Amino acid sequence: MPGTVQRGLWVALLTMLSGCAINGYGVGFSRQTHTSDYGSIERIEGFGVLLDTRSPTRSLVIGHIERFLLCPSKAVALDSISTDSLFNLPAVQSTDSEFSLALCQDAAAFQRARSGLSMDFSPTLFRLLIGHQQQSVVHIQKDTHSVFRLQYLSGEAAQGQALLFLTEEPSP
Amino acid sequence: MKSFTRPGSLVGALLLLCGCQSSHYLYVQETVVGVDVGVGTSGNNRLSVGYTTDTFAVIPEKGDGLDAASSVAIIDGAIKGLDCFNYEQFNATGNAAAAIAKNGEVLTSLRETIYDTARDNTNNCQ
Repeated sequence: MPGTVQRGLWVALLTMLSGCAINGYGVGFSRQTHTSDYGSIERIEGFGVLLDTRSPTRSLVIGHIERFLLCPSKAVALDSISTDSLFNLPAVQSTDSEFSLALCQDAAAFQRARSGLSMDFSPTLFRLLIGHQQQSVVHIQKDTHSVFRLQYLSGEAAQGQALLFLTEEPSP
Repeated sequence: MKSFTRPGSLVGALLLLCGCQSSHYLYVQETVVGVDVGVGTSGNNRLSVGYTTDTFAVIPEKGDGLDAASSVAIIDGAIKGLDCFNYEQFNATGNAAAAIAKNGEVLTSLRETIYDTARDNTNNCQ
């Protein structure tokens, strides 16, 4: 029992020295959001213990993580696709604004670099990683159609757009 | 963590995964250095030690004749020195991907846009 207490104290001490956050809110982690016409980006970066409770990035990381999550901010009709919308990234309209998770369940793209111990939990996958991982994922609900464009500029800023197309006209 | 050291608990946790089919299309590109253990129901079980790099897709069940896995991905990264790294990623899935893939001009223009943007941004690094 004393060994358990000692280990717990060590973990607590290391956590205090580094960081501890849930969904990017906490100590030792920075969380930034950027929004544009079509999409919202959330960037989380830091060192310590990060618990992410939200799909599709549900995970626990003990170590360092830098993660970008791009979600559409609205769904549009499939036939409204235009070439311009594919080539031109809309300007970021606001930063540190409210990040909407509403459509993340239907469509999301994320990139993350993690070092340390990581665990992923989802209804279809349990994964344990010890080491370093660089990952890029596109996660789309069945029967939806999507277009993502993500831009990463030297770690200073990231912008992107995500278009979620429906097979039918979206309800007004 | 401690509960997972008991075989019964681990089996119980893994059983929670049984019977679940992926309701999402997944397109994954990743590189791992270290120990990687994964158990899932989508055919992406894994056990690796060392360096691995993967590109794979998980495709949900679909009805006959329906689009199951159309995907277009164009990705480019460029670096300059130690501090400048720029990355451009384009992905399309489903009918949007099929429409783009069938249009050679759009596909070529998209590829050039992604590559040129990443290189231009890198050249502009101070």
